[in-house]
Amino acid sequence: MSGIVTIAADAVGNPLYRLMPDHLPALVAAGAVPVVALATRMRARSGDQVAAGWLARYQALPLPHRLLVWLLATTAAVHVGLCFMGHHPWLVPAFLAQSAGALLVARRLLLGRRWRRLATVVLVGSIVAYLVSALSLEAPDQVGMATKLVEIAALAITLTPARRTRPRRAGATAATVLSVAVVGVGGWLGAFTASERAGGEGVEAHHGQVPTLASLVRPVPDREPTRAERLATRSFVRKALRAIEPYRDPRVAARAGYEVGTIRGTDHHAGSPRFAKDGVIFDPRKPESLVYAETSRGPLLLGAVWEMPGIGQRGPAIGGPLTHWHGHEAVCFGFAPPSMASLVTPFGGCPALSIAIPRTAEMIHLWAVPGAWGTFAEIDDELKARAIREFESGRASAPA
Amino acid sequence: MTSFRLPRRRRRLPWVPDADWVAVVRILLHLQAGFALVSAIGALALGAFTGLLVVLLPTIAVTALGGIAAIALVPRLERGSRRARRLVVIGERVVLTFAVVDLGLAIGLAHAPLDLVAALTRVALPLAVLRLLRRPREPRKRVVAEAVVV
Repeated sequence: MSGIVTIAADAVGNPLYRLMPDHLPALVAAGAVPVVALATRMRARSGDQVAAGWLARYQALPLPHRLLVWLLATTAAVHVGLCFMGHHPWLVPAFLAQSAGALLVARRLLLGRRWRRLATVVLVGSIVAYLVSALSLEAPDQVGMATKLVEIAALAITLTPARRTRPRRAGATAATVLSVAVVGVGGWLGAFTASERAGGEGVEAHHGQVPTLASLVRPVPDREPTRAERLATRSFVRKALRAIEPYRDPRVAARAGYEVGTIRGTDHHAGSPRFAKDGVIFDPRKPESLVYAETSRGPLLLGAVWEMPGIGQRGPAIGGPLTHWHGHEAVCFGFAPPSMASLVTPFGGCPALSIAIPRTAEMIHLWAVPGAWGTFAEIDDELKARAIREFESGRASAPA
Repeated sequence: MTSFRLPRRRRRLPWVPDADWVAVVRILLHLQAGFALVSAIGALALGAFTGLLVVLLPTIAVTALGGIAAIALVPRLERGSRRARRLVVIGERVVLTFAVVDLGLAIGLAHAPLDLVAALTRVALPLAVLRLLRRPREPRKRVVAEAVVV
């Protein structure tokens, strides 16, 4: 099958790890904040009394409050920029209100008036509104998460008590850590629900396709498979299922070169270094990995995986729309012990002692469980769980 | 014989905590504790979802401990503890090292730099903490180099 390899540049991933083009005006507006600050400074130096007054007030502030002025100006600018994104026009008044609120807080801070309560309302309101939007309206992206990061930092400064009593300080610490956790988990949930709203790999309003988190999919041709494609797929599936049948016994798989190891969890991939490096692509008799689940009755073979040899190489679509190749992105790989550790968080991090794998090669799964015999697409987790339950209860998991 | 003595590198002076700067470090460390909590939740969820919870327990524990350490070191930093400062500096350097590894992987595998948020949380934030906790250097001397005739 070699020779069909092309570069998969059109793979689509979840917006959580991307800058959505319609949010770019917000970034440009945020970039304008230092320019405005510099202009104010220059005007103050050239004798402008108003600019000199604001600059003097700013310079009289303690460092955390100076930082807060920058953070408030940034979130205000971002929300002005979001007014130009061209969709959801009914959100424009909300963006302008947030922006005005943030600027009002900065003004009160500079003028030495009471500002903490208003700042808390503006910042908490903005964070909560974003979470509601992420869970119901549109998937979170890098601009959104960066803006929330700015607002959480601003909120942390706001909540730092002026009077330093121990309970107040502990409360401020807890509030900061919890707000990061809530926004982080909210970002994840928003990314997952956006994918579900769009039907997994479907189309969402302005974001195009929304694959599930950490998945990279290539748009599948929107047409029925041809007769030739159906026949090619059927032939491949028949040969592949026959080829992997002996590997129901992991010892046989191990003898064939698969690194079975200790089977743990419900998604244990046993790879074959030999097949991965043999230069043969998408051979039904030589899948690069087998997928096992750990059950109370021993290992259960769930399916097999064929993988492209290099990142960016496109898998052969012998079945047209029937062959769903996909890759993965933003996966954390841990070293204590070596295993997948997590997905990259909405704040771009991984658990301790793990690294972020930005992209994997394209792969395709073939499932061998009741309800999904011979299907290439991702299968429902409930289907997988049912297959495990049936296997554990002693019912045969033979082809339907 | 004429030899030139190079200007001596300015020595670092002992760290003296500045209340304003430590107040900002406090905020940044609390943010990092929050990031650690989110990472631990992610690993916990993945472990529960894939049945790998036991395998991931050490990772989850180390991540959560990192977050707790970030919170616990703040009061000591505020009291001017040099050991706390040293531990925070080591922690930030570890974060930066992993960020550099991830940047290398991102450029090598995906031909892209780190994401915007990752650049903020894993590069800009630790660099800011290191800058705020930097020990001062002794004042610069006016004489840059001196010629010594032997």
